[in-house]
Amino acid sequence: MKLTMRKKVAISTKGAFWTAFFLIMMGIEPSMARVEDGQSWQWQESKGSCDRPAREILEQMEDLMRGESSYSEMTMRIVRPRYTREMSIKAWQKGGDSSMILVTAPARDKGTAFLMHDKDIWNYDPRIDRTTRLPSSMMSQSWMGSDFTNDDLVRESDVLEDYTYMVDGEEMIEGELACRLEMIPKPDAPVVWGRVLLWVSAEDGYQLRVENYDQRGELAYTMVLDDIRELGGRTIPTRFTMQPAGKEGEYTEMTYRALQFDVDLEDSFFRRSNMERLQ
Amino acid sequence: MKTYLILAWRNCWRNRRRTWITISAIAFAVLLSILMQSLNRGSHDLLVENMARYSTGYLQIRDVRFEDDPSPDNAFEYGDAIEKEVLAMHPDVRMVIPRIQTFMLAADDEGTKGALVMGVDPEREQVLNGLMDQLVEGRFFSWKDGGSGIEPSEAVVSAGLAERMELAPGDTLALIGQGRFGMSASGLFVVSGIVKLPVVEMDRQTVYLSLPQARYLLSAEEHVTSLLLLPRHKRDTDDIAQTVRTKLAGTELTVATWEELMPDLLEFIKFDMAGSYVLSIILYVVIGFGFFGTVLTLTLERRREFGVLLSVGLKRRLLSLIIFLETLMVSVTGVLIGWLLTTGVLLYFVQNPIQLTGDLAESIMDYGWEPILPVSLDPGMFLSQGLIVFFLAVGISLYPMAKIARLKIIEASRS
Amino acid sequence: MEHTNNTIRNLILAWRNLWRNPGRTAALIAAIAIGLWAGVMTVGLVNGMYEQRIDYVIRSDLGHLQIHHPDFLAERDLELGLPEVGKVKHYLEGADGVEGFSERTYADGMFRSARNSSGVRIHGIVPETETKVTNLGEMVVAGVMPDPAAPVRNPMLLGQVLAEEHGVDLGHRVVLTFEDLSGEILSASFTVTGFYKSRSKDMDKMNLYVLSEDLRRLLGREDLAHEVVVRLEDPVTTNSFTGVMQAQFPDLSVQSWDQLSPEIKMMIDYGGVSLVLIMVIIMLALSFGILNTMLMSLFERKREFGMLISIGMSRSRVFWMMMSESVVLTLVGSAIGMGLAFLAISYYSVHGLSLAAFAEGLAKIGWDSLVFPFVTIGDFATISVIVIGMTLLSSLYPALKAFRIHPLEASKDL
Repeated sequence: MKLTMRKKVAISTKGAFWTAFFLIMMGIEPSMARVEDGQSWQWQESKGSCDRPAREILEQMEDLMRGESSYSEMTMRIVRPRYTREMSIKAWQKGGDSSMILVTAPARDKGTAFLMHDKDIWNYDPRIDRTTRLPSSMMSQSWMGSDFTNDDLVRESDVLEDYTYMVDGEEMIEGELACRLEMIPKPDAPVVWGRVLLWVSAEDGYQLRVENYDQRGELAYTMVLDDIRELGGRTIPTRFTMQPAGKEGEYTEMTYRALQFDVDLEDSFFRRSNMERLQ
Repeated sequence: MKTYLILAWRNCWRNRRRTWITISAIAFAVLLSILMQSLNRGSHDLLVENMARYSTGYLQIRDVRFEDDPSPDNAFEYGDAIEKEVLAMHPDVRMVIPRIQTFMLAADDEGTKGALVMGVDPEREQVLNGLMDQLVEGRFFSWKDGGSGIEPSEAVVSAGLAERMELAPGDTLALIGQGRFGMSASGLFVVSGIVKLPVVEMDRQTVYLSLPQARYLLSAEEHVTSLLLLPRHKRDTDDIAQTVRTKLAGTELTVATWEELMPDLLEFIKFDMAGSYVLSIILYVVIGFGFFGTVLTLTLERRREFGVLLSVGLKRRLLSLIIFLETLMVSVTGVLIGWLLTTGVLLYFVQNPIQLTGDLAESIMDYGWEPILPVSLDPGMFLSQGLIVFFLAVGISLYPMAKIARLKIIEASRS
Repeated sequence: MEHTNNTIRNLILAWRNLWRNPGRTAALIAAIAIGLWAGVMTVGLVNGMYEQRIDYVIRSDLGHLQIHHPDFLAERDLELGLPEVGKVKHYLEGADGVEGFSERTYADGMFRSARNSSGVRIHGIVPETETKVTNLGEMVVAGVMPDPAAPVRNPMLLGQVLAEEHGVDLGHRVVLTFEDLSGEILSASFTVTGFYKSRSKDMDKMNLYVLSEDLRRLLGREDLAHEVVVRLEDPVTTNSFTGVMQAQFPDLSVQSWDQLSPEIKMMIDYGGVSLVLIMVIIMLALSFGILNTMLMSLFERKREFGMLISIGMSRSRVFWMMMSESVVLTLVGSAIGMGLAFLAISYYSVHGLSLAAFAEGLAKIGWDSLVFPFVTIGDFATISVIVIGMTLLSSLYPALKAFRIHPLEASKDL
């Protein structure tokens, strides 16, 4: 009689599209870097209207969130029916394919660091004084217990390349005019969604809402971006909430506390040896 | 009625040989059919016992959500108070064995491997499956020596995993994973001992920690993921399950038996039992035909006797009745003696089990099991087989009665 | 010559004697016939049951033998592909008695859908040859097996249970994440083309099938094969074939199915032992039944024998008379028994015996509970010898008792 054991992986959301935005927020997403002087922004195209090519809307959106490099401080709140957890993290990114995350609170997790380079994730754990490379079996596990997976941190899914997209219509969200875009994954893209809906502010170009649908057409996840303020010299949503569909009282909320674009970061910063020193 | 009974009884003993032959036929039939059941049931019981002891136990209390999501999130509170409550639920619960377990990564300098990490109380596990006896190197935790269980951090590793990771007592092992409610779980542990587990799948990937150690690691200080109930006797399992289930109704906990925890094993056994039903039927057929021959000859022998009795004036119906009563008495006696005989034979086999030899014996011993052919003493078998043989005997004996009904007196007297 | 004549005369006499009492004779013949039938049915049934289990394992995945890199099964390191795949295939193409062979590539990874993710073992197969070796194709319950000719990207066959768990339908895209040969983590999308169902839900959840060529391309090596599985025309040749092939390829691991799955071997050996025990029980039942009947008949015929002895027949003649009767009974009974058994086995070995009726709640899959009994000529012969032997032995005791008949006592007996 064979005893078969199967690892049951924590249920988590893998928003390929969410990732794109998370990474955009962190400035990790590669592709077109159109950095201006970092402090002020100029729009070349007309704004305030959705009557533009979808690609243009998307490109603007990406540009708004990126910098050559960035530094941010965030609070992550994981809300579940039975508990709520809060974490504070610091994050650095450069060039679109290197990033470092340091957990600063709570005490139990303090000092834990993640280094993302290419598609690899390295994890440093101060309690065991050890740097581990995450194997593929851990990639779908939730990152720090949130609704994101480890995989989301390094997803190679490129918004512009993995999807076909078009402008679908207009809607008002919280008093703002938003352009609704429909994104369909290309057949060979390693994306689990059937389609993704995206709302972008017509006026200011940041995204306001994302909805991920599975291949049966059912809503799987919703992400809401709000609390729009100026931070790091740009006006962007500073809070995003990821909500799995059909699960009341379960969501993950991330809030920016501080944000700086185009900080001075050496390549050597993104090395495994540096993870310990970050403390 | 009483007169007839006495008559019938006396009749039986008028011809001892005849009666004894019939009784012995029935007794032997009882012996053989029970023996067949006993061997079959015995091997199934042993299989279940071995599988249950080394993995899931006979009964487990778990959170209702655990089945779909076996993570520490679905651990439940457990302490002395709860233990007392559970023990009080049913008198046949001998002991309660707490465990907290989850999959984590085991890492050393060479690499990482997936491992099943189990927080256990080794002394209680010992009662269930002799865990401590399976130590091949080193020792178990020093927890019970009066420590907190948390310092020093010790782990006992299964032999297969130790080999894959080249670990020996004294080496350090890191465990990384996720604890309760998303808290990260990681720690360094010194390998204090190595155990050889009989089930290969488990031997490849198990790490034992002391219960308090594991609870701390997984941020589940007051919790466990499963509570094994050890019944006094395996046969009490279903009864206990029913009682406990009722008592747990309305809480977040539920109880599962080995049948629910190992459905594949259950399937296997059912299939095997179906086969043995067919074999039992074949046995009954053989017994039946043999018995028929005996009864037929018996009837022939008594033809003259019947003929004389009838010609002397005994009413047919009365004669039939007396014969019928004889049959009943002989059958009952036969079954009773059969039971006695069988009890003796089975007890002998319990004391001196049939030994297996050769390759088979070796592979069985590799599993850590005894190379014997076990027998079962389940009283249910005695009852069921006794009844079957009884009815078979009585049914077949109806033949002579039918014969009597049609007996031509003159022919009979002549024989 | 004289002796033979005598014997034949005795037998004919015995035959005539027997039919003076048709009822008893018929009963005895029936008992012997049934005994033989029972023996054959038992062996046939047990053979059938074990065969079914073994056959299932061989047919569904294991094949008769497999060839690997010597360390592959222990380590499951993707790097450990077969170093001489071409040679192995060439050898198998030319070898006698091979019904089919197929190569496989493996990877362990995560299966991801919109809803969830699970750990899986990815089997890269070559459908064309795989279906000659295993019955994977028959296990498909919806859709189709991966087909290299179909215009579908990275087709996949997965267990129906897994699909249900993940809310995946035919035609959906799913993502597999695993490490390639250089240790890099890669994700690729696959299209679900079919569902399969086996006997084990656990296995269905863990195993999925894709095209070997797709998997190799993703892993980064076109000629990577971890396993070659072989099906032979005649299962009996397994061990010898394995031995010969292993000698040809000393650097590889060539193993037969019982070496690959020691649990099955154990089960078979165990089955052998229990069969012996069951046969012992049934034969004892048979013997006892015969013994009893003959004892009974001895007493019934006491007067007859008493008379024969008093008119001068020697006791040994009486003894031989009884034995001759037993011999005739045994011969006739066995012949009939063999006929019955032959008919029964012929019928059931073709139509199968359904155990569903005998098992409570086992009616899961129809073919699961269907067993095909069979016996070899050797089995048949052995059983016949045993039955005949036991029957004659059982008749010995009553015949011996005939020696001690006192004519006077006998005539008094009522």
